[in-house]
This record gives sequence, C-alpha cells and structure tokens, in this order.
Amino acid sequence: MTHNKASRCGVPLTCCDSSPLQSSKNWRAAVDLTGRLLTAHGQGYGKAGQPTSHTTDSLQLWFVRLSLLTKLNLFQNAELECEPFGNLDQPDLYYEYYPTVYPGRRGSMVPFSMRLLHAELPQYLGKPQEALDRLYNLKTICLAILENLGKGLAEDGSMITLAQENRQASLTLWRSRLSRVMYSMANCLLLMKDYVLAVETYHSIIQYEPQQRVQLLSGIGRIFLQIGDVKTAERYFQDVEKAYQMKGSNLSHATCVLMNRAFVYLSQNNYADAHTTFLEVLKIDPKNPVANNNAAVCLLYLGRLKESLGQLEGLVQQDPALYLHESVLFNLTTMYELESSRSTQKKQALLDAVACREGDSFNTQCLKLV
Amino acid sequence: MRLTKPTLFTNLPVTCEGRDLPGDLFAQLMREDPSTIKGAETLMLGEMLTLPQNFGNIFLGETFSSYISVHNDSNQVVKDILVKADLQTSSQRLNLSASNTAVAELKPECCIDDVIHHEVKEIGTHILVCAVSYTSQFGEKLYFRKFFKFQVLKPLDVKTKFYNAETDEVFLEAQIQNITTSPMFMEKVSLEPSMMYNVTELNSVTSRDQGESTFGKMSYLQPMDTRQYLYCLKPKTEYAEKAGVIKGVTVIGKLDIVWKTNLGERGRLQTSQLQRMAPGYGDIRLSLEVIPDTVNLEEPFDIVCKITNCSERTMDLVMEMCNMRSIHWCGISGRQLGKLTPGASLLLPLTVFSSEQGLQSISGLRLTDTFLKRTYEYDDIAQVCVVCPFMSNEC
Repeated sequence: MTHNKASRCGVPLTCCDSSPLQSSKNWRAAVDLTGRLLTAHGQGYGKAGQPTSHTTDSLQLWFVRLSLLTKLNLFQNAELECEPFGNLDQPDLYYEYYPTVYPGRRGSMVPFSMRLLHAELPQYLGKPQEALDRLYNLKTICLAILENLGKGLAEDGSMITLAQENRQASLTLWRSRLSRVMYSMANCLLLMKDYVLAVETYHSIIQYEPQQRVQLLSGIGRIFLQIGDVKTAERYFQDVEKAYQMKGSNLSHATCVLMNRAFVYLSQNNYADAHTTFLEVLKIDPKNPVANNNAAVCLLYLGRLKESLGQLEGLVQQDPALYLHESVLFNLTTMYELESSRSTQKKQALLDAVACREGDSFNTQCLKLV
Repeated sequence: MRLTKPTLFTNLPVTCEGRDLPGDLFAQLMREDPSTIKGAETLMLGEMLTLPQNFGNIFLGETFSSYISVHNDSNQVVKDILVKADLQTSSQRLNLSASNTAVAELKPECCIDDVIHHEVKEIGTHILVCAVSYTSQFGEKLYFRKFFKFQVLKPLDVKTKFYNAETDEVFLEAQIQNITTSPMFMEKVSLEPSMMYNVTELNSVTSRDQGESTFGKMSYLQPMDTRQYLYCLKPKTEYAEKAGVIKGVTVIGKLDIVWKTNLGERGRLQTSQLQRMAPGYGDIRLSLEVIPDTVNLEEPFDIVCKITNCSERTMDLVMEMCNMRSIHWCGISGRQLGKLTPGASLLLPLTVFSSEQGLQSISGLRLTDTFLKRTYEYDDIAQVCVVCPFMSNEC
C-alpha cells in the first residue's frame, strides 16, 4: 500500500490500525474507530455533500467501515452511508481526478471488494433483484476484462503490452474475482428461493474453481434436500462419492461423503443411522464441530434429551472458542426450554460465558433471554 | 416440543482481498467460523443443523411429531409416574402414547422422554392433551394436565376438469395449487381409477430409457403456484359396450398425492372419488372408432364409425352422406343399415377425402330412423389435419 505524503490532515494510516479491535471481534468499537479516522480525513459524520477528496486509504477505511456494519447486520446504516457514493463510478473516485496526488495513474480507486459489498447490500434490505442487477453488472465487467487479457490486450482493452508474469497475475486475479461474484449471485438467488437458477449458478462456478467441486456439488445436494427432492440430492451426492473413489483418500473429501450420507438418512426419517454416520465422521475428524453438533441434534430426535444436552454442554465447556457459536447456542437454549420451565438460569450461565470471551459484536438473540 | 425437521444454518459471507486494509483477517474469521464450509467459505448454505425455533404450520396429510418430556424440577423422588398423551380433535380422541405402563420412580433432575408421531387426517383445531399422574414422596397421589392447541391447515387446492374425446376416452385435468408458505416437492401424483377404467398418466416424456417429467427442471411447486396433471381414462372392454349407454353420474377414480418439504418432511393426501356426469347422447350415438390424425390433400382415407342405439326402442336406420364445402364422401348414400335393437351398436366403415388444407372438421352424416321418420344430423364429428404432400412449388 502506498502511504503517500498527501494523506490529509497529516494522519498517518497504517494497515494495522484497526486490526487488534477486529481480531477480538469488537466490531462496534472498530466501526467507531473508522468513524474517527474518516473524520480526521475530513469525511466523517455530517460531512456528506461537501466537496470530497478521496484517497485510496480513505476508500479502504470506508470499505472496512461498511463491511463491519454488514457483519453487525446493520444493513440500513450501511445503505445510508453508501448512498453518497452513488454507483461507485463518479468522477471523483478515479485516479485521473487527482492528477497532483496520483500523477500518471489511471482507473478506479474503489477497491473491488467494496464494489462487491455495494452490490450485495440490497438483498439484505428486501431488494434482491437490485442486488442481482448490480452483481450481473460486475460479472459482465469481469468477463470483459478476462476477454481482453485473453486477446493479449490490457484489462481495459487498450493495446498496452503486459509482461508475461503480469498478465498471468492479472488473469488469476480476475478469475478469482469472477468466481467470487458468481458465489454472490448464487447466494442471492438462494435467498430469493429461486432454486433452479441458484443450482445452475453454483454449478457453473465449478469450471472456475475445480478444487471446490466437492463442496459445490454437496451444497447443491443440500439445496435439493431443502426442497424435498431427495432423489436428485442423492444423485449429486453420488457424483461426489464417485469423484472421491477415483481420487483416493483425502480427509475432507471423506468427511464430506459421510456428511452427505447422514443428511440423506435424516431426510428418510432414519435418525439412528444419521447419528451413527455423524459419529463415523468424528472417528476420522474428532474435533469436527459440525459433526458434533449434528450428532447431538439427532439424539434429540431419538428421544434422548439428557444425552444430547450433556454432549453439547460438554463441547461448550471444553472448547468455548469453537462452540460458543450462534447455531450451537440456539440448539442449547431450545433444549433448555424443552427440559424445564426453569431454563432461565442455564441461559444466564451461557450469557456469562459469552460475555467473557466474545467481543461486542456477538448476537445475543440466540440465547433467547427475552 | 414439536419436532419438525431441523434447518441448515446459513452464513453471510463478508470477504476482502489480500490487498485491502483488513488483509487476510476476514478470510481468517470465516475459516475459523465452525459453521462455514471448509474450502468454500463463501458458500452460504452450511451443514450445521439448527433445531426448530417455533411450532410452525402443520398441514393435513403431514405427520405431527412431538417430543414429550416430563422433568422432575423438585428435589424429591417421585414414584409411579404415568404419562398419557391424547390428541383431541373436533370429532375424536386418539391415544398417542407409546407405553401405557407407569415408570417406577423419577429422581430429581431426571426426565421421562417420549417421541410421538401421528399422521394428521383432519383439518381444524387439534389439542394435544398430556396427563401426568404420580405419587409424591409422602404417598400423595397427584395429577396434572397440560394442553397444547394447534390448527391444521389445508395444504393443497385441487380442481378437476373432464374432457370427453371423440372416442370413448375421458381426459382428466387435475389442477393442484400449493397453498402453504414453503416450496413443495411433488413426489407422486397418481390417479387410481375405479373398476370401470384403465388409466394412462400423461405427465412424463420418455426419451430412450429415461422418463423425464413434463415439468422439466421445476421439480418443486412454490407457494401459490399451480400445476396441471393430465390423465387419460379408457373404459375397460367389458364396460366399453355399455359406455355409450351410460347415463348420469359415473365414478372415475381418486387422486393420490404425495409431497415432501424441508429435509424430506412428508405429506400425503387422497381426494374423494371423482365423479363425472356422462354426456347425454340423445337417441343415437355416433362415435369414431378409427380415424387418422393427419391425411393428405384430396386423398381418400378410411374411417370407422360406431353407431349405438341409446334409446328404448328398436330402430331401422338409413345412412345418408352429404358433401360439405371441404369434405367429400365416397360410396353410396341412402343405404339401409338394418335393424338396431336398444343398446346395440354397429360398426360402419366409410371413406372420405378433403379438398382443403388445414384442420378440417368432418361433417355431413345423416341418420334417419324409418320407423319414426326422424332424421338425426351429425356435423363436426371429429377433426383431421389435412396436409399437402407435395414438396415442390406446384402445391
């Protein structure tokens, strides 16, 4: 990152400024910090509508702020703060607008990740179609750039020749950006419950990310299980198994095959075999949190509440870093409520455990204390 | 607690590239998150199972599964605990408990568990009544009941339409609408015919050995969506003779519908027996036994008519053929067909050709009953597609 002399108001910006706050998941505090840093940049609270002077650093700060707001599920705040940026193609977001600060540089200053976030945001606010439109736009740009690079031109289609390694690096970068955009599109379609298109989109990612084939096919299988089409799900899971048998043993692949099998048993109301299969995953990968959680869930369906509770509580005590997670806590509190009408004490104990460890961003709704 | 199937936990991926300010932080957070898919962390649909958070909706034909737990909250031992679970509907009371024997003793902090299943067969209010009787430490016999009320809703809206073909076949169109709030996978929609009919279902396309549904990739029904299924019913040969004389209401068969929702949650419904009003044929019924679909222009083709006497008296029939603008009959008009007793039928082969292309309607047959001197006219008996066989410019 270039730290140029012209960073406004003499505030030196280092990469590590907000990291400690972020890694301990104190995202609210981190958001406040970005607010202060942006104000120092002349762009803080109440400064919307004034003549801007963006730098790559200030835009990165905006990106961090917006992504943290998204992580905190504060989507409306994020949308409001995004508005002054329009569609991210305003002239003052290009290097050419600041010839004295960035002499000779061309192109957009907006980080690609920020464009992606800006495109994804509407779907969390009930406007998935708008998100899809923006994502399709991004996809078209990626494809155009890849086509230019393939033809031997520069990214923007100009006749500048690139060195071989630069071209290769650029190709890799834009291919990974394309598959990231396609993941967003598929996730958005899934949110819209357009299962046919979502499945097609996930499928088409495989050609760009062949190493994720197993995960993608298994994910598509799970979508069909959610619809209720167990037969088609089984077909996809069989593809995964065939690939596994051909390639030879690979730990995560074997785990995947067993997980898929367990889900099929679940869909056939065979909770006993599902439980056994999750236990088989644990034989290969004893610390697998998903298998541990899912095995406990199966126990409940088999009428073994106490055992299930014992398992989950044990996991939380042994490894709180891993198991104080929203989904596990939802399951724990649901079972506490089933066990006894005096569940509040136990839920309170969970809240205490969470408060010690997690940052200020933990979503306490999963404890169902209200 | 109602045991609907668990749901899969979904993630909200927030990522950035290495060159951005957070660097590898976001990616690291996602890798450490236990609910993401390792190796494909941006995949939203994870593998963590989450227990149902609320009762949800329950529909007719689904199975009501519930966990019943009796927990000793006190610090005393209780003896002779008997748990009974009944389901009370507007019309009946059903016993759902698996066991009817009392549990000898229940220590503090322990519980008695039971999972019950019941296929819901009625719409409307249902009440799950759980009754627990036990003896306290001091020998007191105690008893309490808990009530859980829920509504069973209607999942599907089924409409049927009958179409009578020119032959004895009847086509049934069944329109099924999903009136629940979640997508449904229609596993099986079949028509079980009554004893008079054989049924062919027309809802799959067979190419080579694989049969594909006519709905293609849309294997599921979204809420409020409707689908049409088509079935062809042919009366069995022993009933076919009487088919022309059948009057009034006949029973066709019933629809058997099986569907699945989230993680294989199953539902099944059967309609009541579907009835059809047989069309009135008047005194004489003229139907077509054999007729080609497509014929060539100005080329004579053969058809076979079946004339059935649907009245109560014997008839002596004379057949006249009248040429229409596009339909021209070959053969002798004004023939005597002979006597026809009530309920009997005869087959009559005829030859005809068309002088115009396109979809032509066969008309122009006149039957006269010489006893009563009554003439019956038959127009628009059937349609045939007339094409030009020549490939050159002459046509």
